Amino acid sequence: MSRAEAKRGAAAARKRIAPGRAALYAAVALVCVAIIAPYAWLVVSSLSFRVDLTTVPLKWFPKKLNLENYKEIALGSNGIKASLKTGLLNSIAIAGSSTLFCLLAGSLAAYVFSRLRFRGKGAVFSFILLTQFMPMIVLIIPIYIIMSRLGLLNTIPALVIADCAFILPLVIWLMRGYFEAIPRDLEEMARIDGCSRFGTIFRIILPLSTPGLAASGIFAFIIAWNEFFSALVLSSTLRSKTISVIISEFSSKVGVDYVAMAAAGVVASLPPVILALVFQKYIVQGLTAGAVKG
Amino acid sequence: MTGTLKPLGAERVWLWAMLAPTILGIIFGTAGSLVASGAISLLKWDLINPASWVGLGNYSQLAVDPKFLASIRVTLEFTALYVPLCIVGSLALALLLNRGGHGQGFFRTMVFAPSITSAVAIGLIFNWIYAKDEGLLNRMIAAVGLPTVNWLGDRNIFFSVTIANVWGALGEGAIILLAGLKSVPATYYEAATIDGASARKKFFSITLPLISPAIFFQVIIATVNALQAFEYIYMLTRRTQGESAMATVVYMVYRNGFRWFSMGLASAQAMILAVVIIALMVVYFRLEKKLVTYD
Repeated sequence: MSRAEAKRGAAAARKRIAPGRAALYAAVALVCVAIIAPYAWLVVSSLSFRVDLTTVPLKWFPKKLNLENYKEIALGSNGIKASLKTGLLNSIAIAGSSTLFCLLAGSLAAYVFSRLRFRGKGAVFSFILLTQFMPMIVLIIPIYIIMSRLGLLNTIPALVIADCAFILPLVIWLMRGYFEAIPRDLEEMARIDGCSRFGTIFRIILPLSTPGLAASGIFAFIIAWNEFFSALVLSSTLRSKTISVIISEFSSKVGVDYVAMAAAGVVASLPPVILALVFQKYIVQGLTAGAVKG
Repeated sequence: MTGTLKPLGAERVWLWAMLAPTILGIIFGTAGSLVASGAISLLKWDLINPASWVGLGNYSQLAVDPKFLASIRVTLEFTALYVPLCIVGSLALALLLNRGGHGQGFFRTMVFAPSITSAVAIGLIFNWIYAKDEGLLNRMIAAVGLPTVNWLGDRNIFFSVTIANVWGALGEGAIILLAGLKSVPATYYEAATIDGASARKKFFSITLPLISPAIFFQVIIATVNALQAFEYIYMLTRRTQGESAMATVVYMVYRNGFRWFSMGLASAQAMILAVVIIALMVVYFRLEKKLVTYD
């Protein structure tokens, strides 16, 4: 094949690929728009005046910024907008304590499943994984009745317990994967040097699995933050209502005040998105850990 | 078993101390609740008056309740539409993500964003996107001079809610399928290229069979999620008096249990849903042997 021929061949190949490339970029652009548009609309609405939002034709950029709603959420002392602040604090307390508890109890349990031998280990582990497929709806009625008998309805611990019930299995599963990847020799050496079992866990195993703890922690926090059904059912007063429950009431309480609704939506969706952006690497690791190992 | 340390004496105590929160929480929480739900479903109980035994009365009442039968139907219809849309959409997204190129990391994060956003917040946005007069969709339609659509009206609500649900779930599915795609050895494609296989042939003969375990996993997740979908339905279809324009089984349980406090009836409905989920899983795992390729 002469050089000229080769060149022509390459040019033809490029031409053949070009429409495919264009279609690819078009598809990527379309997906981007479809995903970003609702978010963009949420943020734009939260910053607009209602008049600007209802004009025809539709404007993507408001003429004047309206920060009133954010101000009311941050500084207001009564009314539904101010209750968002309580909801935020409740959500932080609930998601935070669920995460801490699940990381602690989950890592210890994962360690047991990864390193120790005892009868029925396989069965117990499979059972724990199986509970993840258990529909929340089947569990919620007994949980509600127990909480109401214990006088825990409308309290933060009730929501933490409910959250842990379905976050714990996930954490055990993820952490066990990370522990399996740590060479056992390391641990045995530490044991020979006189380190206790707990010493090896806290000085060797856990420090070596920080990425795993980070991934599990982020997942735990996001799941707890977004959990809605149990929060809706278990809390009917501001004492334990999470931000999700409060914004679910927005549509009925503020009528059609879309601007206020949008501001509330932004406030509620922000923390997980920030977490995900900051810890992007760990999220992908954690998500794919299960799928790859099967 | 090399390297597995056997617990001795005092360590046995520690072992159980470490496992206790989990075992107690999970066994008693999950298994206990399941048994309790089953038991409560045999009662008539409003939590105020003492419970009375009705045996299978709740079930026989539900078997002829047109509202409940309709809720099973709408749940199954929703699942039948949601699962394929989710799988095809996630696979398409995963193939796009797998092409690499500039901005891949950003694209991947963005695709994943809906999965980590509170479903209630997304429901709120969709409420407004779908709104009749001032909604984003209708104003875009009006801008190009077409007649507007009542997206949340009786005729369209089913599809509108399904689309919102799928929108919220695609990213997670795509990331999991992407992991499957990345695990296909590049040499297979190289060999196929040398043999002159077309892109379509490569997709159906190499990609699809090799990622079938990941797809199967995703089908299970999507099905379980669809049968339990609640947030979007609650946010988009709620009407006055706790009614819903798209009352799925989960919604019925919510309404009976926590609005009217008919705990027995709600438990019976929840148990029926659990049976439906288990039955579908059995069917899936039967089909798995035929459709999924493991190497």
